[in-house]
Formats: sequence, C-alpha cells, structure tokens
Amino acid sequence: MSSRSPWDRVRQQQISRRSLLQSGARAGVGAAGLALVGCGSDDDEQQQQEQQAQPAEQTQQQQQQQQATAAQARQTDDEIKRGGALRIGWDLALSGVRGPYAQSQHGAFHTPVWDTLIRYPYDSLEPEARLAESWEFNGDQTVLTVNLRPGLEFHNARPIEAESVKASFEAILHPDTPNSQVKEPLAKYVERIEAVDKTTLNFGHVLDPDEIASLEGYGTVAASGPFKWDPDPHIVDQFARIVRHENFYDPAYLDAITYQTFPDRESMTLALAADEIDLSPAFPPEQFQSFEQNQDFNLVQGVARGLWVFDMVGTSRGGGHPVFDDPRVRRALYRCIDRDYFNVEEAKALMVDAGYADGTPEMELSTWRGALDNAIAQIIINDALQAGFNFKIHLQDRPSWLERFLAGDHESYINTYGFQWLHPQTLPVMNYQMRIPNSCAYDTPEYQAMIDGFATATTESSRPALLNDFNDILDREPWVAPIATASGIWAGHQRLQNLDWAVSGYVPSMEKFWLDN
Amino acid sequence: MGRYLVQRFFEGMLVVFLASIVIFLIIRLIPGDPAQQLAGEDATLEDVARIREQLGLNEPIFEQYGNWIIGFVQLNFGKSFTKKVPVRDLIAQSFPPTIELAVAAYIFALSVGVPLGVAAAVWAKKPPDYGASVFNLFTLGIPNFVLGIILLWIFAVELDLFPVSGRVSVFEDFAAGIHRLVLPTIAAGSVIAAVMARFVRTSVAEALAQDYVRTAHAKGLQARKVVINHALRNALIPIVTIAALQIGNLLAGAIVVEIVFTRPGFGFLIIDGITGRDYQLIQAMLAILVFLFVAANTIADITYGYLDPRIRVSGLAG
Repeated sequence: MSSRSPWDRVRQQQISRRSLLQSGARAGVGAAGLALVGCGSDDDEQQQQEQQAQPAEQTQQQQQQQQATAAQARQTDDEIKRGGALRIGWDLALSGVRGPYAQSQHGAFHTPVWDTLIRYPYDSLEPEARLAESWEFNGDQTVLTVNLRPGLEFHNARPIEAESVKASFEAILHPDTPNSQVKEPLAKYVERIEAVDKTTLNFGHVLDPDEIASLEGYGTVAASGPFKWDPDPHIVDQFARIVRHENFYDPAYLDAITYQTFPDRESMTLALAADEIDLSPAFPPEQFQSFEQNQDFNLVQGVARGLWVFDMVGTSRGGGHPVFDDPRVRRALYRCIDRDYFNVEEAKALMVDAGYADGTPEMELSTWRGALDNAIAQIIINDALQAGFNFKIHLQDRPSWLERFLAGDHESYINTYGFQWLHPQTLPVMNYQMRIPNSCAYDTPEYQAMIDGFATATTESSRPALLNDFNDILDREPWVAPIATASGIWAGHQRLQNLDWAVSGYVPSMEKFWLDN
Repeated sequence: MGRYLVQRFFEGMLVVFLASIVIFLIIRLIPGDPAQQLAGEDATLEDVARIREQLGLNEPIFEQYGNWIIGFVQLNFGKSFTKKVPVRDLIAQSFPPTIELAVAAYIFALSVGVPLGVAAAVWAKKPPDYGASVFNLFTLGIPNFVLGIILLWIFAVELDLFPVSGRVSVFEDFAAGIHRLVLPTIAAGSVIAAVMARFVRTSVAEALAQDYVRTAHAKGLQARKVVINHALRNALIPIVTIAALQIGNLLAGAIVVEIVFTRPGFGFLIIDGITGRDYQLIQAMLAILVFLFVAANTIADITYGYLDPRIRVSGLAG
C-alpha cells in the first residue's frame, strides 16, 4: 500500500477522457448488459468479439473454473469461520438508497440485499453468473436469453421467476420512478422484456414486485440477495441490520451485518479505532495516513465509481458564462486540468488567441460541501490562473447547488459522473450533465444525433464509429474536464477477511466476508 | 394565581403560533427544492414537476400552511419527504434520546454549576473561586462538539472507559444507559454549568452583602444555614431566570452533542431534514423545539410567582 495519501495518488493518476473510458470499461456493468439486449453486440474490442463468439456453455465453464481457482487461492473451506455480525459504520442515510431503481454510493447495503442477474468483476468485461445461471445471444444477437438458477426465492420465500424479474424491470421503467442512470439506458436500449418459462431477457436488480411499494420507509424489504432485511432494530436512517438469507444459492458466512450511521466522520473514525465497528466503507481520506500505519486495520481504495469533473457552462440557454462560449477557452482550461494533456503554455497561447491575454473576468466555480476536497479545487484554480483564468470558489450546500445546476445557473462547477455501471460505448448515453437542460449547454445537433444513434445502432461496427465521434467531439469541443477518479476508501479491522476487490467488482462480495475473531 | 397561569399559557401559545409562521416561511426561502432533492440530478423536468405535485408543493402557500398547522394541532405532522414515514413516528423515535440527554445535561449543569457558583461566592478570591474561574474559562472557551471529541479520544479510545457511540435507554438497562450517557452529558452540560456558576456566584455574592445576611450572622446562625437559607434563597430568582433561558441552549447543545456521540435523536433528524430540504420534518421539529422552549420559560415564570408573590401581582397588574 502506498504511503501517500489517496488524494495524492488520485492526483498523480493520469486521468483523461481516455482513461475515463477505460475506467468505465473496468468497472462497467449494468448498461453493458442492457446495451446487449435488442440492439446487437456493442463490443468493439477484438477480445470481446472473440468471447461473444464462444458458445455460452464454454464461457460458463471458464467462469466456473476461474471462480473455483480464485476461491482456492483465498481460503480453504476449513479456515473460514462462519457466523458473527459485521458492524459497519458509515456516514450515509439509508433513505437515500435508490438501490432497486438506480445505483448509488450505498453499495455496501444494496449489494448484499439485492442480487443481480449477472455481475461484472472489477477488472473485466466478462460477467459472472449470479441469479442468472447462464445467458446466450440468438443468431443475429438481437435477443439475449437469460436462464435463472433453479430454486431461487425472495426473502419472503416467494419464488423468483421470469415474471418477477420482468416485473421488477417494469417497476424501474414506471413513470413514477424518477429518471436514473439505470432507467434511461433501460428505456433506450431494451425494446421488450419477455418472460418465457424460466427464461427472461433482462439485467439488473430483482425486486419482488408486490413489495415495491413497501420499500418506502423500509417497512418490509423482500429482495433477492444473500442478506435479508431485519425490521426489528431499525432506527430510520440511524441503524439497520440485515441477516443471512439461508436459502440463498451461495449462503453468506456472516450471520448478520449492521449499519450504523455516523453523521460526524471524526466520530466514525474514533469508533473504528475503539473497535466499536469493524468496517467503514466511507473512510475519511484525511485519516488515511494515520490508519495506514496501524497494523490492526486494512485500508483498501475502492474501484472507481465515477469521475470528478470540471464542467464549463456556456450561455446558449441563458445561464453560464460567456467566456465558455469560445471553444478555445474550453480547450485551454482542459489543458490546465486533464493530466494527459496538461500544458499551461499551450493553454496560455489559446487564451491569448481568444482575446484573454490579460486574463478573464472573475468567474464562479461552484462546488458543494461533501464534494471533491476543496484543496483539489484550489489546485485547479491555481493552475488555471497561470493561463489567465480568474476563478473564485463558491461553496454551497448540496440542495442549493442542485437547484442552480438544474436551472443552468452555474458558470462552472465541479461534480461527479457516475460511470460505475457503464460500458465505454454507452458512456455518451449517460452524460446527463451535458444534456440536462441548461446544465452544460452541450446540445449541438451532431452530439444529439450521436446520442440517438447509440440507441438505434444495430451493427457491430456502427457503435465504435459513434464512440469515435464522441471522442472527436470532446476533443474539439470540450465542456467537461476530468479531474480525478471518485472512489471510496474501505477501512476494516484485520479480523475482517476478504475485504478484497479481487473477490468481485464495484463492491466486494459481502457474502464472502468472515470474521477471524 | 389561576388568572396568572391562564395569561401565561395564552401568551406562550401566541409565541408558538407566530413562530410557526416564521418557521414555515423561512424554510421555503432557503435555496433548494425538496422535489429536486428527491428526484436527483438525473431527473427530468417532468420528474421534478410530478414530485412537486405529489408533495403538495404546488398548492397556494396559505393552503399549505393551513393544512400543516391544522395537522400540527392534531399531532399529525405529515409524512417525511425524504424518509417516507410519518414525521410523528420519527419524532416519537428520536424524542426520548434527546430529552434523556437534555435532562441529564441539565441535572449535571445544575449540580455542578450551582455549588460551584456558591463556593466561588462564599470563598471569593480564594482557591474555590479561582478553580471556578478556570472551569468557566475552559468550558466556555471550547465548543461542546470539540469538547465531545476530546472526551471521546481520552476516555473512550485511549482509556477505553466509555463507548464512542450509540445509546441504550435508561429505562431498558439503567447501568448501560448511564454508561453511554456520561460523556455526552458532560459535553452538553459543561457550558451551561459554567454559565450557571457565573450567575450563581454574582447573585449569591450580592445577597451575601445584604443587611439581612449580616443580621443572620449576628444572630449566631451557622454559616452554612446563612448561605443556604438566606443568601441562596433570595438569590434564586435571577438564577431561575438564567436556568430557564439556558434550556434553549441546552437543547441546541444536546442536538450538536448527539451528532458527535452518534446518539439517535433530534440531531440526526434536524441535519437530515435540512440537508434534504424535508419541509415536513424541519417544520415539525423546529415547532416542537419552540414549544419546549416556551413551555420551559412559562414554567419559569410560574416559578417566579411561587418564589415571589410580588411578581404574581405585578404580572397581572401589567
């Protein structure tokens, strides 16, 4: 583990639009699966094409072999101690979880409670079997047939069948369900969902349709994952408990997991130090160095969930700042932020060419409390100052920031793109911040045509071509400059075993956690 | 006395009513739309509009207020926008821990502040007085949340004498409840104790300089009896005033301390309510806090009447 702070390491990473796409590929899940349904194959890489050409059975055998090898490398079954309750401390409120409908930073909760049909490992685009036992494309790759494991059941003992999978996706698409990074691609890419016997065409979280309404307030939760909701000790947004689902196809080692919300992150760190919690998936970066030296704890930097970006807002829809209407200015700023293209001298030349040899007027850089470390924003504006940008940080609380964001009232802002569920070729579809009215004013006809094209492209070659268009547009007309990957730090006591991203993807497979007391 | 009580009651209700209007309007003046918060940044404009409609935010403001205040009187505070459960249930869940801490901190503040103030007055310019000054400087100079972190670090992490977080009801397990209450009580009550000590010292010192105290001494009464029965009793009215006024500070302090000690209570809810622009939750909680504050001050006013009949009479005359 590096001795540098995570922010230092993040800052040193060569983050660029290209690495954004690559990171999206590594961490990408859901939208990839969605893109494969009804729209043909969308993998442009040779390796992916070869994998898709393999018979499904062969692919599945490989998966099983890999999983078995990985399991052997981790522990022998005799070493694993079953039972016990893992105590998690974090700074999140459960009512913010949109798990069944959309992904969120609450992965440490919704991943063990709601299982998925498939799951992508953190380092591969080859999906792992979960609730789906196998999956196969038809001849022209316009239909993906998914076979569920036999004998699956919800936490309330109802069977998980094709119809319930279908219904859960229909719930996501329901008009009353707000738009999300799951809903929009689902609506755009999936033409139909059919349940045929025990087979369905779908992807993602599986809900018991009858229980969807009662998710509000966590009255009852009948989900599909290795742990089930325990309503008794629940204190709204303060304490929650999930217990092992005995009928899960791969039963968890732990008896239970508890979630305690710490509104004060210093207190959470003290609770970890005092051994009152075993794990924090929201460990404060500023405490990294002090805990890194402590042999009692393991600190793991999580897989990138997204990317912190600097967004420039033009005036085409009435907001923004006129300075950003000039593409030369945007390209100059990009060169002050993106580490792949970092070149202040070139930025200065662009600014002189754009008529800002003496610098820009003062511009507002909006950020919100809890967003990217303010020190990073300060570094950015200091770098940009050398090229003639005159930014002033405006720190707001999140609701105030969001109101201005949706109104297109920011001049520039820092925010995250959540791309953890993205395949690189679906990334443009997810660029909400470019397309929400007035947010970024990125609404050129060619861009919109490209977005629409992703939803209708039916050949293997058309999607990579669109992706190239996307790259070209970003090169010529950058509105978004990548800053750093957004990834949490998980800090766990040494007794917690399998706190390891090699186990699985975005969130470790928590059914594989066990406590070595 | 009956008329006096009725008058104080109606004055208190008027304050609560006016405060409810202010609370209702101020919350809506804060930037940030609850519908946008719920919909998230991926939301479409249609999503936001639909949620606003569902939340009743498109109704005329007077109608919204009318619905809320009628519900409030009936103890129906509506449903939390963000948590999707009745606000009444949330308050019922979080009220006992906060009151438990506030009561404990108040007892701590009185039991430390009053004796300390009396000792400082009786032994003015002597070690007890200096000791009280040091205590006051220390506790008044350190914000309660910082004091909380310091206490946690020393007594919970380093010495492992107390837990860092959580709460056990004293009615379920008295020993465990008190064990988890000690540090938060000190953190929440110390500032009030210091304020009380200062006022008690001043008030008792003034009383000790009065002729009737000299007379009591001259009669040969024990010094302890003179201080307690004569000086302190006559110094009580300003002390009661300060003690009542400190209840507001105490509640605010308890809420902050709850956050540091991760105790479930109003602190959690208020912060969540504000950050989520959960109007229903914030309105109800602030109105309840105003009600508690007004009730405490009304009780203090009534206590004056018992302590000094002249106040009863003048209060009615005024």
